[in-house]
Amino acid sequence: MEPKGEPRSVLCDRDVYEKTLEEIHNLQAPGIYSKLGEVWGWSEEPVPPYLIERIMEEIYRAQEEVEVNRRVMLSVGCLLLVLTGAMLFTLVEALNTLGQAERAQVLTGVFWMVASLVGSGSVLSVFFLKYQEREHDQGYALHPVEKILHCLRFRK
Amino acid sequence: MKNIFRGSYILTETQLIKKAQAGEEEAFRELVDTHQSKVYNLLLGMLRSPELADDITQETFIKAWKNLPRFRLESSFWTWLYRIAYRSALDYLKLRKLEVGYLAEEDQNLGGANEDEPLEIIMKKNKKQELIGALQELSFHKRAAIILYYFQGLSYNEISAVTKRRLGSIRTDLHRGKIKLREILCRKWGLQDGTKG
Repeated sequence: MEPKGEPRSVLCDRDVYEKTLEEIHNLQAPGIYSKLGEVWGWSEEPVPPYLIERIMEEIYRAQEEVEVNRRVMLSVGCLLLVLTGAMLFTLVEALNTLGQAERAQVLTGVFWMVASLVGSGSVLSVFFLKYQEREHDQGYALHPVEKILHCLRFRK
Repeated sequence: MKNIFRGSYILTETQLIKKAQAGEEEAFRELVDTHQSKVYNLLLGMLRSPELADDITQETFIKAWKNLPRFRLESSFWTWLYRIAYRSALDYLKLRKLEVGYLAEEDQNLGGANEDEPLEIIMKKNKKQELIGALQELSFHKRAAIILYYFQGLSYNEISAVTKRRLGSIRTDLHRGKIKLREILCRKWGLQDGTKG
């Protein structure tokens, strides 16, 4: 005997088909599998036993990466600060040895160099952030700026 | 709210989420353990291949872990996971241009019938293959709407939260998907479509 709601028997009649689907909708929920759903072929497939271990391995690896990234970002930040300080110090020292006219020329050159570096850096950062924002727009991911802050946050 | 036994005391899912948000990996492991079957079975329906479902389930949970601070407990945890899983599956299909007809040669992939298995299990597997096979002939959005509404029992609002699509589009996809699914199954089984001639 065919089980109740068997697809082959209900497909011929559109109303019965729609009613059966509605009945399946009412019986099913995430993680809940009804007999009627099973009759239609929607049964629970066992999850491979190794899956959770693989996921956790990846998560431990991701955690380590976050730690490494945080250290790299902090080191690079500190290095950049030291370099900027050293460059400013050298520049001021060099400017003190120059005359008024030469000093103006050097300052103009330095201004444009810094402006072009900041400009190109900003353009690159905007492109990077826009690319990273894709996942954020999908409604589940952190904003890239939040990601950086999260990465920099000290853990207990 | 589901309670999860842990040692000598019971943690609610919210407590586990908060612990995981604070960086406790073991709390997240328990969340994975609770939800992996839902996510895996959803992806299996959407992608048909167990290997792909496997990979995208992993990707889903890794993305969830990385973005856990974003989860504000305003929706249920599984809705959030479904959203990540849905987007990951869609991105994967877009990337590989696998939309319709993909994996046609991998019919046996849903655990092909083994001669030693009981007849009941073989019949169940065949049915699953037929249904999932028919669903794969639908476009991704129609397929997702049918799976989420009928086979996962989600409401229109929940589907909208998962897919980030408007209710009108979901209703249309569901209506058209339902008609198309019936046509495909009728054709597959050589049945007469009651709405025609």
